[in-house]
Amino acid sequence: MDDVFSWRRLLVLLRKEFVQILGNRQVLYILLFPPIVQVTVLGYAMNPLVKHLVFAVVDESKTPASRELIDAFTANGVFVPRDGGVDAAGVYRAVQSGTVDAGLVIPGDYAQSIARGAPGDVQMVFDGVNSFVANLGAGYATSIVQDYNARGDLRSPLSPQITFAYNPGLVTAWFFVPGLLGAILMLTGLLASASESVREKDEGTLEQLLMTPASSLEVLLAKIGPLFVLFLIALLASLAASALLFGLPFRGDFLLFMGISSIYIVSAISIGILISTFAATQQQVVLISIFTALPLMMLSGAFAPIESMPPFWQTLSLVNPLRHYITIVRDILLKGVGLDVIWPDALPLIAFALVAIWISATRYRSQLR
Amino acid sequence: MIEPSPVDVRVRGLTKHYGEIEAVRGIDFEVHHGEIFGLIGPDGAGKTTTFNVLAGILDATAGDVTLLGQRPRDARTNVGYLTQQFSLFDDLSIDENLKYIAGLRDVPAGAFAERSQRYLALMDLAGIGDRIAGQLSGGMKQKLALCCALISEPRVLLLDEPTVGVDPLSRREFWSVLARLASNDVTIVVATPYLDEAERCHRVALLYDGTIRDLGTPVELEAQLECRRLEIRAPDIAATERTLENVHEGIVDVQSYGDRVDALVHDAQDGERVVRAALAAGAVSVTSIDTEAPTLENVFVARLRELGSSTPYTPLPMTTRPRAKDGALAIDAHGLTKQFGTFHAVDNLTLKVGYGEIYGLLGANGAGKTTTIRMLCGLLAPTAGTIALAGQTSNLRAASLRRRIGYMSQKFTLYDDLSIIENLRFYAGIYGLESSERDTRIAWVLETTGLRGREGLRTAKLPGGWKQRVAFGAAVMHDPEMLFLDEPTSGVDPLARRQFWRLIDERARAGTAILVTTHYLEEAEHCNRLCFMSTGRMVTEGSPTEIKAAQPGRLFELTIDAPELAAAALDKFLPAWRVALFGTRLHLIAIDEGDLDRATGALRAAGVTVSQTRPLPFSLEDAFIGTIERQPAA
Repeated sequence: MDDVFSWRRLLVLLRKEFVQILGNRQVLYILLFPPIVQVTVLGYAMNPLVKHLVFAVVDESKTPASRELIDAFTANGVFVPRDGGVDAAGVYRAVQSGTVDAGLVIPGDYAQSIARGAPGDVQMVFDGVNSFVANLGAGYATSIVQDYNARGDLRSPLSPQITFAYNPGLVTAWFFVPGLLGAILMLTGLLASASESVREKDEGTLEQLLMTPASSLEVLLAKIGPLFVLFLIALLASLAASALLFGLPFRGDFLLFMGISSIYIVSAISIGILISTFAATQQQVVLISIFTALPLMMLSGAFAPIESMPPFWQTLSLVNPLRHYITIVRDILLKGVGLDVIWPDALPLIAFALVAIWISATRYRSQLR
Repeated sequence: MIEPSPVDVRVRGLTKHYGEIEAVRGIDFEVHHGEIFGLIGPDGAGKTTTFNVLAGILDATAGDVTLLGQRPRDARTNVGYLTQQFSLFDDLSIDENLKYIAGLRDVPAGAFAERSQRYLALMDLAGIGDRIAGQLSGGMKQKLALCCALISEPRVLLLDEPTVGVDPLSRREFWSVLARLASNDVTIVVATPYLDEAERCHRVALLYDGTIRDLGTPVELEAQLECRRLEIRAPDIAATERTLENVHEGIVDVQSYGDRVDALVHDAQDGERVVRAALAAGAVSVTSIDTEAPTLENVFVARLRELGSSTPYTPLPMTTRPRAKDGALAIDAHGLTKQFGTFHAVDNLTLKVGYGEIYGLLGANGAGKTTTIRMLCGLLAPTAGTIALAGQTSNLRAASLRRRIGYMSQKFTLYDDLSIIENLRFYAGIYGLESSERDTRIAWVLETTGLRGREGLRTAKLPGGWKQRVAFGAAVMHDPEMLFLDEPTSGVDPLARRQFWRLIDERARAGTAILVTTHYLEEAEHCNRLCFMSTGRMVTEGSPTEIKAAQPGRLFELTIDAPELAAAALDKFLPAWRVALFGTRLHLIAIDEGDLDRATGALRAAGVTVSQTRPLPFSLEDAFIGTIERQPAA
C-alpha cells in the first residue's frame, strides 16, 4: 500500500505546495481577488436593472384611480414621467423619435372598469430597439399595473408572488451571483491549477519529482490541496460580499453547500491539471484553459437560460459540472432545499469529479513523452 | 607573438558593485588584435559581470574600459556577444535567425548572402538553413549562435561560457572555428569552466573573487607552478589516493581518476621517491609512475587552494545500508530500444552496472544518453528490451524501489521559489528519512556545499554551479543503491567538480552503483567503465585505459607558429579526427610510421615552422573523438 499512497509523503508534498503558493504574493492575489472582485463588480454590471425609463403619459381617464396608477409607475424610480402629447398618436411619435423610452395611455373608462371589477386595461408602447430594456420595462409595467389593480380588488386573480419583481435589481443579482460564482471558480480554478502544474514541467522539477517515491496520486492530491483551500476561501468571501452588497440570502444548509462546492472546486482543479498534461508551456496552458472554460461557462445556464438553447446543446450541457453546480447553488441559497431535492444534480457532479481526478491522475504519470 | 599587435580591448581598474556586493574589484588586462583571451575562475568570480561591462550592457562602477579605442556602448556595432544561454529564437529556422540578427545590425543584403553562406559553411551548418533552431542539438545551436554573432563581422567577439552543455566533438569543432577566426583578425575574449579549452587560448586570466590572480600564456602559468605531475597507475586506486593524501611533505596535490592517481610534486625525482616510499609503507602496490607536465587545471586548483576557496571535504555521515552480494548487478539492461516515430533514439543497447561501479555514458548531443537514463529509471517506457534494477524486473515505478534510486538530471532540479533548506527538507521528506537522519544529512549537504549559514536563501539567487552542488546533495541524501547522474557537473567550476567526483567516488566505494553522463572527458577518467554512444548505439565499451589502448596509431604534439596555415595544409590529406588545433600546438594521430614525416613535410611545404615534436599518450578526449568520427555516417 505504501507504494501507492503514504500519508507522510502526502504531508511533505502538501507542505511544499503550500510554501510555494503562499510565498508567491502575485499568485495569491490572482487566486483570491478576482473571484471576489468579479462577483461584486459583475453582480452590479451584469445586473439588468432598468431605471429612469423616460415615459410619456396620456391620461384620458383623469380620475384619482388613474393618477394613483401613474404614481405607482413613478414611485420606484423605474419610470420618469414626461409630458408626452395630447393623444395616443402623439405618444407613438414620441417613442418613434426616441424622445421617450415608453408611453402609457390610460383609457377614459379606466376608473369605471376598475370599479366594476373588470381588469383595468391600459396601453403601453415601448421602444423595442433595445429589446432587453423593452422586455424588462414591459415586465415591470405589467407587474405594476397588476399589483395596482390587485390592491383595489382582492378578488382579482393575480397572484402576489410577483412582489419580488418589484425589487428588480436584487432579484437579478440573486439570479446572477450563483452563476458568476460557478463560472469564475471554473475559469480561475482551471487556469491556476493548469499553470501551477505545468510550471513544474517547465522548470524540469517534474522529472525529478517523478523519480522520487511519490506516487502520481500523492503528487496530484498535493497539487489540489492548497488551491482547494484558497478557492474555498475565495468562495466564502465572494458569498459574504454578495450577501452584504446584494442581500443574497442563504436559506439552505451551510455544510451541504460547502460539501457540494468542494466537489465542484476539485473537478475544476482536476480539469486544469488534465490540461497541464497536454501542454508543454504556460502559454499553451492559458490558451487551452480559456478555450475549455468558455464553452463550459456559456453552456451552463450561468448567463443564458438552458431552456433557451437548442435541444442538442441542452443535452450536452448535462455533462457540464458548472450547469449542475449553478442549479444546486441556486436551490440551496435561494430556495433553501436539501439533498432530497438537489440529488439529481449532485450525482452527476460527483461522478464528474471522480472521473476528472481519475483521468488526470492517469495522464499525469505518462506525460513525459 | 613576436611583434606586439595593437590592443583591441583595454580594461583599467574595472570595478562593478551591485549594491553592497562587489562583483569585480579593480581588474586590468589588455587583449591584443587577433588574440584569444581566456577568462577562467570559480563560479561567482565575476566573469559574467566583466562580459556585461565589455558588451556595454552594464555600466562600470569605476574604471576605464575601451574596445577598439571606443567606449563599450559606442563600440557595439563592432562587437559580437554570445551569452551563456542560447540566444536564439527557437521557433525560427536557421536562416530566419540569421536574417533577423542581420536586420537588427544593418547588414547590407549583398553582404548578408555572402557572409551567411561563408559562416554556415565554416560551422558545418550549410544546406540545412530551413531547420528550426529549437530542433538543433546543443552544439549546433551554439555554432548557430556564433554565426549570428559573426554576421555583422565584428572585430571583437565576447563569448561567455559558450560551450557549456555542448558535447566534446562539437566543442572541439567550435574551438577550431575560434582559432580560425582569430587568425582572420578577430579578437576573442572567452570564458570557460573547461580548463582543457582554456589551454587553447593564447593567454589566460584567472579571476577570483573579482580580481585577477594570474595572467599569462597557459605554458607560462603551468611553468610558474614549478611542479611536475606524476601519473600513478595502481591496482587499487582508492587505497593509493588515501595513502598519498596523508603525505603532507613533498606532494602538493592528489587527484584520483578512474584508472590512475595524479600527484603534483615540485620535483619529479624527489616526488616519485616520496610517492613510492609512502605507498610501500602503506603496502599499496604500484604498476607505473609517469612524469608529465602539469595542466592548467593543476594551476587552477593549486591557486584556488592557496586562496582558501576549497570547501572542506566531509564524508556523508551515514551508515550505508547493506548492498546486494558480490557479483549481483544493480542495473541490468538488455536490448534496450526506444523509438520516437521512425527515429531510433536508443537502439538495442545492453549495459550492466555492478554495485560499487561507476559507469560512464558518453556521446555527442543527441546520441541517446538522456533517453537511456530515463528508460533505466522508469521515466520512459522502452519500445523493446528488458530492464532489471536491483534484480527487480517488474513494477519499476514502485515507491519501495525508487527509494533506493537517486537521480539528478542536467537541468537544475531544485525549486527556485523555495529556500535551500526547504528544498533539502522536501527531498529528505519525500524519500522518507527519519527526522534524526534528516537533520544530520541536511547539515552535511550544507557543510559540503559551503552554504551553512545561508540555508534560508532562495534557491533562485544561487549561481548555477552552486545550485548543482545542492541538487547533488539532495540526490544522494537518502543513500541510494543506484545513482543516476545526467551531466551533474555541467557549468560547475573545476574545484567544485573535483569535490563532486570525490563524493561520487566515495559513494561508489560504499557500494552504490553509479551511472553518469558527462561532456567532460577529463571527468570520465573517474569511471570504472565507459560506453561511447553514437546515434543510439553503443560504439565502444571498456575501462578508460582499455579504450585509450585500443586507439589506432600514436599521438604526437607539434608546436607550430602558423596554426591557420597548418590546419589548411593537413586538412587536405588527413581526416578531421586525426588533427586538432590547440592554440599553437597541433595534435596529430599517426597511424603508420610514415605519417608523421609526411605531415611535417606538408607543414614545411606550406611554410609552417615546427619547433617541437613529441609523442603524447592518448587522452580520453582523443579516443572519444577518434572513435565517434570513425563511425560510418548514419
